[in-house]
Amino acid sequence: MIDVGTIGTLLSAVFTLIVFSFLYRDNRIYKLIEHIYLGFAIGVSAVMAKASVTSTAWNPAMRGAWIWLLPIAVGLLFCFYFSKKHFWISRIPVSFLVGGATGLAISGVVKAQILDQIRGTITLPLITAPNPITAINNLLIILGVVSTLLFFFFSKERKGIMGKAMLLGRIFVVVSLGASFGFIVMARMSLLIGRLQFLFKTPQLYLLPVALIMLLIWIMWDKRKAGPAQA
Amino acid sequence: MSEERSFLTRLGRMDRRFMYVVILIAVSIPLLRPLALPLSVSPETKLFYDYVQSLPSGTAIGLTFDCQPGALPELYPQMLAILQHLKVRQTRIICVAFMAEGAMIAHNALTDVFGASQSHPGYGKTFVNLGFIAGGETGMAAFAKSVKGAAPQDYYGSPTDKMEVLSGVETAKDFALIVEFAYGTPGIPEIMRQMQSPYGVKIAAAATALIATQVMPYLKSGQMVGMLTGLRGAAEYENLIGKPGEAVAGMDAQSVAHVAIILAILVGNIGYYSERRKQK
Repeated sequence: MIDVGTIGTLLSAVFTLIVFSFLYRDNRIYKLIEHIYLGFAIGVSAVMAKASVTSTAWNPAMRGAWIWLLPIAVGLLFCFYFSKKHFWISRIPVSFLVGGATGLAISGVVKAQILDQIRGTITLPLITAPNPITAINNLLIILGVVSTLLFFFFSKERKGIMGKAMLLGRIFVVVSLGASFGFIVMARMSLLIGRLQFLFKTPQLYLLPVALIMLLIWIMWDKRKAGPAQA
Repeated sequence: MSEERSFLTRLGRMDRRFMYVVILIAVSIPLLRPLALPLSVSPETKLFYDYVQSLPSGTAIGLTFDCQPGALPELYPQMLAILQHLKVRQTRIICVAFMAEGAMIAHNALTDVFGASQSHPGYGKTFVNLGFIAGGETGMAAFAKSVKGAAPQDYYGSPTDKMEVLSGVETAKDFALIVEFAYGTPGIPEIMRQMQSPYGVKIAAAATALIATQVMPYLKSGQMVGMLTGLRGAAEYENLIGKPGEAVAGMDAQSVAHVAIILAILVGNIGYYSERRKQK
């Protein structure tokens, strides 16, 4: 008798292989799996959000902290989104969300992402650095920050020393984009490695020959279909 | 010469699916037959490890699981390695999630490291899973202001107000360290804004490689105590704690895949320039 865990693992492997089939060509089964995944993700998010609202607001309200009913009531106004006549009411919770979240973010941005970053850059040790490599790294950071800021300074013509500094800034921007792209490749490879590590375990390993045979049949089928048309 | 050029031109116009097969083979071989390529430890991973190593036993460590299943190949090995280290250091582990799926991921990681989650005798005493707190950045701010207020119940529905693991933990200030498993939003910028900056709590990032360049400035400016980057960070941490696992096993494949991609870029460029020369 196969246990539920094994069925889940095999299903997961089948889903992975079907998603991989997109690499050969877009197909209906891939689309089906894509929709199933989307449905699951939305379902999980809805259940978790409901549980969070229940424990954070509903349960305290039922224990006498009535103030919690106020945010629940405001949140329920979102339902008017589906009404053509009263759509405008749904803008009330949206405005609360946007206003609250923006205010909260801005208050933190100034210190965490502007002041502390500036302080971190201007206090980088050059002469008192623990070793020459660190000193060079720190110098590169300072040069990078200054020249990149100059690159985005548009009120001065790009010539002379200013032009050279702006060009240096452009080089730093390009190098930064290259580093980001390198990390993206690394991240995507890690995803593939993770999936292959999963597929190379038993019992899902036994599905690989089946998938390979199905892929070959599919390729042959495509070639046969394309044959008369090409002729 | 013309034959050579036509070969290079064909390379430049090669069917992309051929490249997929090459990458698949390049990744599969080291996974099936490990090459044991050397792996150095990056300074940011060492900083992370040293900071955790310096923490006395019993201190409260927050772990924020802000990720989705798509990030697990990179973040799950990091989670296991960090949890194993914290378990050995006998610190108090407080898990929370600001992304819906994070709570389940925390449950799985705790089960893998401790053998059980809610049914473990240490649950509620040395570790806890507070579950998901909705609201993104707003939820983070609420948690930082009042830990028990934002999470009155844990992931399994038990009340948190009398839990031993949370004794003395009222706000974000009471954590010796918060480790953010970062993948998207809410993530590092949000935790810096809502916890590090207003409460001065030490933050360490365990991030996917995708967002590494966004996280690095916080480390260089001294706002962060350490950082793990993707699968490589996990492999380095596994080596540092002396428990090589799936991340170390995956690093050979990562290195070989990178070599294959570098070669593909070189071949593609040679093909492109050769075609351009031919056109001139």
